[in-house]
Amino acid sequence: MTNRILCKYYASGACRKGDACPFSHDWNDPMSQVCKFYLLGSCGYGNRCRYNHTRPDRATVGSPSSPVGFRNIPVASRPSPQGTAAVSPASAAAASPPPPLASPGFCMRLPENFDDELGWGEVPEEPEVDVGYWAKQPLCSMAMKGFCARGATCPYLHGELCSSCGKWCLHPYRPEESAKHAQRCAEERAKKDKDEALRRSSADVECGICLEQALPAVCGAAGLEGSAGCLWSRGAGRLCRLAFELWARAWCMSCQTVMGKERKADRRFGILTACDHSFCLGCIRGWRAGATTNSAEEVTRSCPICRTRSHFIVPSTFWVSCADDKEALVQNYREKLAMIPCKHFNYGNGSCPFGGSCFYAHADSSGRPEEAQTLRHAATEDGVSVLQPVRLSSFLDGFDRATRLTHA
Amino acid sequence: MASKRIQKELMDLQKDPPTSCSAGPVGEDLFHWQATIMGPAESPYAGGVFFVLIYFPPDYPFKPPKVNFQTKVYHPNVNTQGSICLDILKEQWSPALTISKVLLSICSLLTDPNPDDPLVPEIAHIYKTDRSKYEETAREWTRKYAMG
Repeated sequence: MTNRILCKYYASGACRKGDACPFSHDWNDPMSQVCKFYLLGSCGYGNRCRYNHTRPDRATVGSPSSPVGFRNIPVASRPSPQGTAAVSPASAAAASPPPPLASPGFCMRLPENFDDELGWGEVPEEPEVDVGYWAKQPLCSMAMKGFCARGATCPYLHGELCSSCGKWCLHPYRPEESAKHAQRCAEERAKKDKDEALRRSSADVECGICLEQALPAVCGAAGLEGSAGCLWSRGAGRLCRLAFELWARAWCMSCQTVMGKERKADRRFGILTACDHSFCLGCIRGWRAGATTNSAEEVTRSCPICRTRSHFIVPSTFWVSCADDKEALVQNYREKLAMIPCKHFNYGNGSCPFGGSCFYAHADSSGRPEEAQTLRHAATEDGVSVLQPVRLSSFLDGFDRATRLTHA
Repeated sequence: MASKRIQKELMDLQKDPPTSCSAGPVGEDLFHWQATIMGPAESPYAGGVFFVLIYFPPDYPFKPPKVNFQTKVYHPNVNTQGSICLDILKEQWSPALTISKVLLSICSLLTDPNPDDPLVPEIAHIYKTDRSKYEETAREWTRKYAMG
């Protein structure tokens, strides 16, 4: 039985099926010792092979790698007499009792006595399906992508169509897993739709520096009649991204209406934290980096339009107009930066000029966070001065120089 | 980026020209413009047409354009070389400013000189002490250099 054989992916720590894996996830169970080349009939090692050259009992072992005869296919999974079976997406959720399996693709080579073997036409009564057994079987990966050349003769289960992602990946005998998948798909779809809406709303936001739109806007061709209507405005957001890019460039460069930035990397906004004026990331970074003197820095650190000072800018692929969204964006940005090791701090080997207020992670190589250094003050004749943190390396430097001097 | 932005400004100027000023490139060079400013009605420069030369730096709009009067102007913030003392053309420049905004600022500078930060202290002194003499001289210069 497969559930008594240790899963080889689990043994290497990489099984993605979890509880649904047909193999055992118990370290006490042995790994399969049967030579797979022997099963295929051509093991080059012969008697010297370190794996067992024994054929497993067909009645007891149904591992996915072992060939499964037609009789092992549940009767319910046979193709409908009309040809290829079609299953409505609505039936995907109802998995009890198991609905007829959909078979994307068609059967290429049916045995001549196929009908006789299965006894079609004679079994109109309730099929006997071992739900427990089939719930452990994996889905056919080819059918999942949409086409299995083996059709109804495929030894693996063919899943049902998920209406959200368009894949035949709903396991007919695992209702909970299917429900989870459908829920995840629906969430992903909702997120995609939200992104699309954000993208559309940011399309006409203009940069205050280059006076262009940072994102490709809705094409002017949208107003044209017939087939020339803009694919984007017709809801082509779900088109292949590359195809859209190529199409948009070819079309829109000629009509001179679209394409904010040629490089995709430039199609981002630099969100100022203190005000709501829009700029491309490249433009606002270019402006802020241009300061050479302290007084110029005063000017460049402020918004070019309203001159409100912002200490940092947040890159974003969408324009955020709502204050809550903006706060979430800034928070998300800072959390992401806090995961990246600071290059100045260099795992404790360097010193960061930003100290405790640095956005990047200050941790040593073992992941221990930096101890908060309190600034120490000392009273001097001129007033109070801040003492620099004491480092061992500075003493060694001095010692080095002193010894060199004495030797000289 | 600079030429794209200048082209865009030129298109905007042609599409929606501001009242009392106009601007456009001199010849083929997109980075060299000439502009005209009509003297504001409520100032001693009324009736005059002032020519202004504009040079865009290669890193425009991150650096301000160089703007000079070609026509002689009697003004505390404009010297005889035509240089203009205006903060937004120097340290207070912002990339969000455009040529049409700069020209409008120059217009308002003609109406309201800033004698506290003068380029020509003598004119600023006269402006502060003897306003009628300043206005008379300005009107005379306008008639002499900015008309006909």
